[in-house]
Amino acid sequence: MDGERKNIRNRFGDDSVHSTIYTDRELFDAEMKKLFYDGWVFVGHESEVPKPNNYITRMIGREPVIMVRTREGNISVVSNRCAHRGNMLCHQHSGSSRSFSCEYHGWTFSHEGDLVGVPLPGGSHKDSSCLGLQKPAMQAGHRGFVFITFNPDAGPLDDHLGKAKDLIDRSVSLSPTGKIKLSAGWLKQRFRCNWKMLPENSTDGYHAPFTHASFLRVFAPDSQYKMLSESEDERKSKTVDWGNGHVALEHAPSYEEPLQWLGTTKEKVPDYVESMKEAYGEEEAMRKLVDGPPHSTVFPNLFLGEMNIAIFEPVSVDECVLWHTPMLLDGVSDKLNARILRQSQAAMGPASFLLADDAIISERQQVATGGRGGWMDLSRGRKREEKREDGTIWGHISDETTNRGFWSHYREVMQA
Amino acid sequence: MNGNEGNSPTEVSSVDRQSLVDFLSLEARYADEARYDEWDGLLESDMFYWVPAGDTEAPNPDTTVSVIADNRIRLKNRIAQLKTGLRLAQQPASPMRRQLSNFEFKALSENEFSIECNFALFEYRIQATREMTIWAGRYEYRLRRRGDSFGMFYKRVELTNASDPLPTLAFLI
Ligand code: FES
Ligand SMILES: [Fe+2]
Repeated sequence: MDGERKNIRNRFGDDSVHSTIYTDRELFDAEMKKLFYDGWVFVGHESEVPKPNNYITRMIGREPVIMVRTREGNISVVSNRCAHRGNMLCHQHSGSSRSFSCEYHGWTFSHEGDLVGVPLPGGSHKDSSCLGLQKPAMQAGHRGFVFITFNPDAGPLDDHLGKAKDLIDRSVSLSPTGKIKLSAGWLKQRFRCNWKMLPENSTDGYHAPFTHASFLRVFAPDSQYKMLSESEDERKSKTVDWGNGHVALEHAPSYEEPLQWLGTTKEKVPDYVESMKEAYGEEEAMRKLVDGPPHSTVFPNLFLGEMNIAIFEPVSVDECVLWHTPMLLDGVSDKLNARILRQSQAAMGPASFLLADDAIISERQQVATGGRGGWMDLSRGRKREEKREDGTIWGHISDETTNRGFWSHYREVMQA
Repeated sequence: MNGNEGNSPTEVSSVDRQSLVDFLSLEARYADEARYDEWDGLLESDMFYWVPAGDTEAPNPDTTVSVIADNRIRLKNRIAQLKTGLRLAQQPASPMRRQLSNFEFKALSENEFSIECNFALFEYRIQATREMTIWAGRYEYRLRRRGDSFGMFYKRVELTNASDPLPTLAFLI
């Protein structure tokens, strides 16, 4: 135990992290336990299983799970591993099924994970209530986002989410009905790098002019991305450490007009603007439409990536997958959702104009840190960031306030 | 009637077949060799370039996620980004070669053709992991007569593993 703590402590310096944090296999195993099994983790959104019997499969750390809508309409999460001899129950990414039936010896489980059928029952003498599927210790949700933990002592989800609840609210309230629908399917991009580079890079406000120089040259003129190529003094966006490892790039201060973040104007989508006013009142609706969506990670694996919802999936110490799906809005025209889809495709995914380049950097980082490694500096902006009364920390958009926020929470959890 | 038996509207003459295959071999070579302007020169103004993705049984570029769903303007921008020389994901461009086979031809009208074929593409990821990546799937092209050659107005790439995690795909597939 003490060894483990020391192991973590030795990897952190004065505003710096040692690169072995990306390459140590034992540390990866410890992360699976401490962050992914013992902490609260995002599984999926209720809109992905709209009807009873609909299910999806996911990996929570390295643990396969099924999220299903039960016949009564509740959301149930169970381990995707037969309680008999460990066969994977559902091997499809999604589907519809009244129960889960194992293809090895035919055991059948209810949506809640109870063993309800054993073929050739003459040989069974054990109490079947001890032979159900494993389940998370706790399951909770916020605005349709479902989270689980395998740790009965993880504390309430609300405590873990903290200010991230407001960020989720801000995302979903871009819909006039307050609902989103993740119905467009997920695109999955494989990165040959450590999974922690995904949350780090997703909230790094420093790299855009360099990593994305080709993007800015082609797309930035006359677009909402113009701000990314402004000088240090001109940039109004902020980095924010919301606490608990939830960190964000806050672009609202850069927007002057409604819907700039969607590359459109209120004149072009009058129906949407009207329905937002009706739902939230003129002033509130306008504020939402100017500020736009959050760009924030929710520790450890959820990313509210503006009009994308994304998941960070660790695979092994040097491999991970970035899932993303456009955040489609309920109660708006198909045309507006098609625009969201197109914007999402431009930004994220293996052939996108942004993430394809981020992936290359991450893969080069992984190669470069694969030997002796060394210290990585995270001090940028420490002297000019502002700590507010509510505990949040605000930095210049190019400052490493977000990275420090991620790592300080990581360190705290991993050392506990 | 020219007496050419079985010349139904969907059939393609062997002369046309040969020139369609010649066109596609050239298209493949330009893409393999990162000859962006020459590749672009093969396209019609109503080009749609589509690589569907995900688990969806009925992919639709307006409602389900795609790896690529480029109209002419977006495709122009994709190529412009590659041509900046700063597109890290193709800096340097992946050495690669693709093979096309199992052609099926169909005439859509007198001047328009649909060709489907299988492909295997070997990409050397020289920018990052320096591994050979194999891409496989099926192409569907739609071509229109243009002088004594053709122009391409549709290309759909059905990746065999489109529902699983894909590595970076910043080249022209
Ligand atoms: S492993 Fe599932 S029934 Fe035997
Ligand atoms: Fe980036």
